[in-house]
Amino acid sequence: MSAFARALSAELAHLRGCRWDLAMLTLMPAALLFAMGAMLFGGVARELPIAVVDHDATSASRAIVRAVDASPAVRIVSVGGDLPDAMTLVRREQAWAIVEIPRGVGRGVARGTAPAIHIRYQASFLSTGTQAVRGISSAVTAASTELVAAQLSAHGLPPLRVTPLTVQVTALYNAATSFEWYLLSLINPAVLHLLTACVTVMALGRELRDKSLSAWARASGGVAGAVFGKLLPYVAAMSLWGVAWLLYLTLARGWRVEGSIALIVAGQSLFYLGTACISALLVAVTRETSTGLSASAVYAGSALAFSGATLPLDGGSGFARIVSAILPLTHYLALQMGQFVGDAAGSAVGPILALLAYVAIAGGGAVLLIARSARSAA
Amino acid sequence: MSFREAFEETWRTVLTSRTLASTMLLAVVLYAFYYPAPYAHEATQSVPVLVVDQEDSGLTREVLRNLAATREVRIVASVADMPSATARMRAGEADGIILMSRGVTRSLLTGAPGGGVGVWVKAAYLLRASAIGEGVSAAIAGAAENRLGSAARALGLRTPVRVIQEPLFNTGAGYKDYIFPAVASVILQQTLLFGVATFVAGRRERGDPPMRRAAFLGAWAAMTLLGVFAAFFYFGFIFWLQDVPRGGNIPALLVTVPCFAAAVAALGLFLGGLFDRSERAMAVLVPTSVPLFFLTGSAWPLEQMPSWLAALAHLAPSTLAVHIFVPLNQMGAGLNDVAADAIALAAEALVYGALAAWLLTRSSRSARAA
Repeated sequence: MSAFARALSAELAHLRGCRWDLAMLTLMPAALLFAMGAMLFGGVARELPIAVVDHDATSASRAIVRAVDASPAVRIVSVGGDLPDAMTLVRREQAWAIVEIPRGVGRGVARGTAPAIHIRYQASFLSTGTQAVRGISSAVTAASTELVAAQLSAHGLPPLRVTPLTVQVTALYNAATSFEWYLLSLINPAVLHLLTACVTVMALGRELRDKSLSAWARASGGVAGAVFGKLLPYVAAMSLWGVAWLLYLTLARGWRVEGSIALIVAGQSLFYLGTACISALLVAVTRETSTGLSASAVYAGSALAFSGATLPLDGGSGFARIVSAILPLTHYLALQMGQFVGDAAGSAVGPILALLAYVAIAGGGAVLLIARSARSAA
Repeated sequence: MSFREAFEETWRTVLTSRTLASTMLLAVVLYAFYYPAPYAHEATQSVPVLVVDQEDSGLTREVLRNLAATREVRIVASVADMPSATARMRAGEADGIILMSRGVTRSLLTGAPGGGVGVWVKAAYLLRASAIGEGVSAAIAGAAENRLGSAARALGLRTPVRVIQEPLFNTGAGYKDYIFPAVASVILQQTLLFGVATFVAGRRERGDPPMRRAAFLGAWAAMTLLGVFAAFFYFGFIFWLQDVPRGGNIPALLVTVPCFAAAVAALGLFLGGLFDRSERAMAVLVPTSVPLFFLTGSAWPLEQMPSWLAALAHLAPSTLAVHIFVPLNQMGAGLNDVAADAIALAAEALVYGALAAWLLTRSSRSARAA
């Protein structure tokens, strides 16, 4: 039997016997992916609670309030005349935004003053605050436009078009601007990446004897074969979870991958293999499971922040851009998101080469280090 | 072992064990600088877009000049027609296309239909897409106001009704100022949790005898104090150094931070008592970090999650902590504003503490009875 086959069957036998390690490949990914899927099931925020401060209290201001309330994104939980009260609601996270309508909004237009409607929003939770403000501002703009038109004609003035230009924004590949499609696309690969990193550090770390892999390497009959045979069950399991997640997104939730699903599936397996190779290198270098796990927590745990997939790194510091380019998640997400939106297959070449580099450099480095320690110990 | 001996022994172990010191002390310092780095520039900048200007008039050139001056977008190229723009976007050159159709000036000045501005964005990257939308709206509003200005001024009107958006607390609507204060609670929880669970699992792996009650309380107090130090290091020093918004409600923090640290330390003692090996603690807990951050409701609000999931999310002290410490540290909230979550956190400290005490001292009582 080759070293690869021997290591593979030894690892499978271990997994059959060790409930903890088996659970990390089955229950754990199932629970984490399920939780994230359930979390974003809604996809588009609805009925976010907001407060209204109406200093005007005329039919004009009430028209604006009605328009805001009709917006599906928000729901008015308080209408009052006092801004500090509304601010308390925001501080208590009972309202995401405050619409403040000034006195005289109904008369201001004809008098030549420009009344200002303030939308104050929760920016400490920027993501949700922004969603609330979008829902409100389109409603307020539409309502005040109508208001102005009505007033001008009431004063015998010629109608003035206040929204003279139509700007038609088309959201391609995510027409509903859904957070489900946007965030699940990013979170789940990041979760599986971190899981892969941890389980593979544990797998190789289990073979450390007196801070050395040399005993295991000598018994293996071939370091390269043994390392890849050992890692294969983990890479395969995570790849299968990745496929299950893609099937959930597309078949169960109806999202559409415009490009090649095959490329994404292949890229995903390559990504998890690269991650496993980095773990092998970490164990070979640090010769301590716990340090390998700490290093994985740092690099894989924050990889999503550095990927540029949420906040783009154009304009970021050189340090952030370099770290981003070093981390494998950045390259996998570039490949995946490109294929999600139907970029040409050619645009996937760069990310695939980058992912191959982790296998070659980290995997190769790990094999060399382990082989050398086995020789020097012999 | 007395309370005091156990307290001192725990501190000694943490300070002398390389694994514990690096997870509980070094990592806390490292994350304070590493995690904010990709958000340090605060806002979406220079999202690449392609422009198709079919009209090429004074107005459209003004819009494009405005657009080039906005922070949000970067014009990669001006392209002759839509098919080639689409092809270049598909090749990955840009995240959006802005089309100024023929007749856009006429539409602006006379209201005639037919002219307009079309924007196509790859909305799979939601944040980039909205940056493009905002950049284009601002550029067009500026140009349109210039053009319409004379007509409107003749009527004694400038902008009929202004809508002013004002970000609260994080007044620059900055990304680091939003993410880092929230993620800080997750970092503080996870580093303490990893350390405590590793410490306890290591005891079990070595076959140490079960703890006496005083020893358990001493270890819990020592770990809690470590967590308190780490939290104040973040809330006091790192938040100032990273210059995130600071509300500075110190009295309220003096009450809530110990509850948080005690809850996390107790959870770590309990979970650590379940693991078979010391490494298992990190191997199991590290992968939960990313989901735990999202379950705090910082990116997607808790109220929009299924209620059973939101309830489960509250079992993690980090979720309660975000909704206590962000209001106290960033929004200038008072203790009464976060009272419900603070009480829940104190209750978690008690429940997890009781569970951990039961698990870790259990066989010592049965051993004595035997």
